[in-house]
Amino acid sequence: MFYQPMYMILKLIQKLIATLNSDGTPGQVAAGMAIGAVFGLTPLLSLHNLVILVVVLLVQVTIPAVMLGWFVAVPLGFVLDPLFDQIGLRLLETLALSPVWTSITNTPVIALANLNNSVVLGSLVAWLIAVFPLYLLLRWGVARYRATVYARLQRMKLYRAVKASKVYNFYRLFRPE
Amino acid sequence: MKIMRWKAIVPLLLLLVLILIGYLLYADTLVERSIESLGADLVGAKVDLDEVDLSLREGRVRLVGLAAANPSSPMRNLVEASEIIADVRVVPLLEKKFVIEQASFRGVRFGTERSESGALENPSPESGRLVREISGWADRVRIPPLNLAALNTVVDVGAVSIDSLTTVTRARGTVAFADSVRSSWQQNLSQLNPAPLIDTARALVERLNRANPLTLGLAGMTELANSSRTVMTSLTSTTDRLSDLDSNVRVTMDRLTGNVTGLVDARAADYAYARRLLRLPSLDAPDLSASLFGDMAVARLQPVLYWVNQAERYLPPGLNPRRYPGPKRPRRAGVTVTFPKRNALPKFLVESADADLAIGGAGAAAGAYAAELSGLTTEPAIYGRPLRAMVQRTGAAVGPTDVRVDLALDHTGSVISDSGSAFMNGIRLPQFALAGSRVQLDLGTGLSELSIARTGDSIVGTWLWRSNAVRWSRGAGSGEQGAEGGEQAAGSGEQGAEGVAQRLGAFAEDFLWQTIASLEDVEITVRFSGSPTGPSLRIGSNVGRVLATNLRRELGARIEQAEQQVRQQVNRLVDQYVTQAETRVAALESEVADVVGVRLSEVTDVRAELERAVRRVIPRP
Repeated sequence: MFYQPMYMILKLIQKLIATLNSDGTPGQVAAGMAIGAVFGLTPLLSLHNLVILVVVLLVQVTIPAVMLGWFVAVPLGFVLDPLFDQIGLRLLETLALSPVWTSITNTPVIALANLNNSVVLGSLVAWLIAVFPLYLLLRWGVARYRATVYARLQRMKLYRAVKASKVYNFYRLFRPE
Repeated sequence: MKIMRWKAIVPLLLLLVLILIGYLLYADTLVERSIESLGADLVGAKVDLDEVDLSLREGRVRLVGLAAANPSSPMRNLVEASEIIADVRVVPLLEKKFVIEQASFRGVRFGTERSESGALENPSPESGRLVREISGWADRVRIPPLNLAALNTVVDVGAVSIDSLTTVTRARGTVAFADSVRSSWQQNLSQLNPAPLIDTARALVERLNRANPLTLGLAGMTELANSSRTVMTSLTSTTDRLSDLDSNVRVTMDRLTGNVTGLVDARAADYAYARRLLRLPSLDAPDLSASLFGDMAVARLQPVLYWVNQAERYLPPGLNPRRYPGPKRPRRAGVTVTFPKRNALPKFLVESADADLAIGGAGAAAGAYAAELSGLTTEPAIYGRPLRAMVQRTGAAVGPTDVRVDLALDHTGSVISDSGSAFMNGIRLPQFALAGSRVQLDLGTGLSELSIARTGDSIVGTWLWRSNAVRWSRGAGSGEQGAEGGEQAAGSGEQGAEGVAQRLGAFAEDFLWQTIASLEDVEITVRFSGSPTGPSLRIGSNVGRVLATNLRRELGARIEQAEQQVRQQVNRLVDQYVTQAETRVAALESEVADVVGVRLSEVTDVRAELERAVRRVIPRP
């Protein structure tokens, strides 16, 4: 009885993901992971992440891939923070860009994005630079995985055992259609 | 393939509703935490808030139970306010700008006790830096020690070490320098010996004087002209080199002579140094005043300087981008750079505020006060008007008092221009021990007047304390009792009776006591000027003047005698080195410098003679 609300929430999440993830081409999985990386690379509670979340929910990308991208990028974000700090500070202190920052930090709503913080700006710029190459790389990787590893996995006993278990329910979210 | 996922609209709206509910539930808490965090950063101690009531629709923020701890006394509050109501402009919040049109502070009290310490576990680096800087200044301020005990001891001139005397070091340096340039010049002179060239030139002049073009013929005249040209070229070259050497010699000799002259100043500095070693008391009134009241003045000036510097930090002048530490979060905070924009609203502005202040208790300062403030902003250059604040007493609970504080902080230009004054009459003045003694001074009720002005990086100010009803008392173990009813003070804090006896001696302390115990009026003036983080102090007091007069009368001869002994000892140690330096420089001048001058003169003369002879024999067209 005590676990009933938690169970309902989990079921709701499962249903949401299952509903939203109606298809998953390599491009969609790669896009999801590349976009999801922003949640791990940049400080989570930022306005730009809210905007990207809306985009993720509205556009046909694989939601579990977004979560995987986020999960993988979190430790990377912590490790790369000093670099982001330097990139951001360099950009904020570039005299030529000063009018841009002055305009951004004095514009309603956009000012709430904290783009005048070195880590927020540095990490966001780093992600923007990396997102497209990352997408291409991941799309190639997923396609290769489906053509080689997944075909071999299907013939393994262990895989079949796992497939019969609950763990497979989660894994199938990544399975090729 | 479809790009949009229309089915996500409903979950998305649900998510946005969840965010909105979260904001409505936790906005007050978030604002409360933010104010506590920012306040702690500003004050350098804990800032607590009981409750925040945020009503954005009405543009009103109500803070209840604000208490800011005193950084230098964490078990007390610097200020406490039972309620603060602020009318906030809502639209600028979308630009992260907090503009308060009107704020009212109610139930403001000072110095109330706290149930728990208000010290911060991890104070902000900037706040800590400022405290450290000002504490460092307090440690560096040289307060002349008041030590009359040295008068009772035999003057130990052996304490003056030769290695510590500046005169000896400089004299040795001068000798070494003189020796070094001597060898260099001698080498140059030997290379530049013009005697053979001068002899050749003189012989040529003789030939020219005797020469007759008719008898010499064309070939003879040509040979004579070529010889003249060659010798003239050599003479010119030698003159140039000698001139260079001569100017070098002159500059160096000036420097050496300056070094020798400077030995007089060095000797005076050594007298002062040796005098300090013997800890002879100064008989100058400013020094004595500084000795007696220096610690008290420094302790009271520290918080004033802290707030002067905080005003610069939080109300910076100009429109340049400013760097602040980023928000606290698990990730790296980074640096937040603000970009002030002309003709826009500042990031933080309190257009006007008023407060009802109350100082409780039965003290002379107890009563009601009213305060007004306008133009408090983090970007004064944008706002364009200075901050003005005024506090005035509106009702005295006890005694005739007059209190008024005025403040004007003009940070609108690139150069800070601050001024402030505080006039408090009839308030309880400090009670403290005179430095280096067990004598306690209770200034009682009197006048305290502070005026301070800052222009750019220069601060100047005066703090006056005046009382005509002081009470003197003397610590345990002394020969006499307090002047007014034989009061006994607990001593001067850290100094135990034995330590004090060692420092001052019974005779000296008795003398101090007899001199000042009858004084009923005391006036102390502290003048400070210089950098806002480390100004220099000048302290004046009628106590110091009286003490100086009496000391001169009683002890002047003895101090003069001791000083004479000190001077003789310094002279004995430095005389030989000074003489050596003077002799060496004088010798260098006569042996080398003058020789260079003479040789240059000889070469110049013979060159002129040769020119005249040539012109006579070979007239120019």
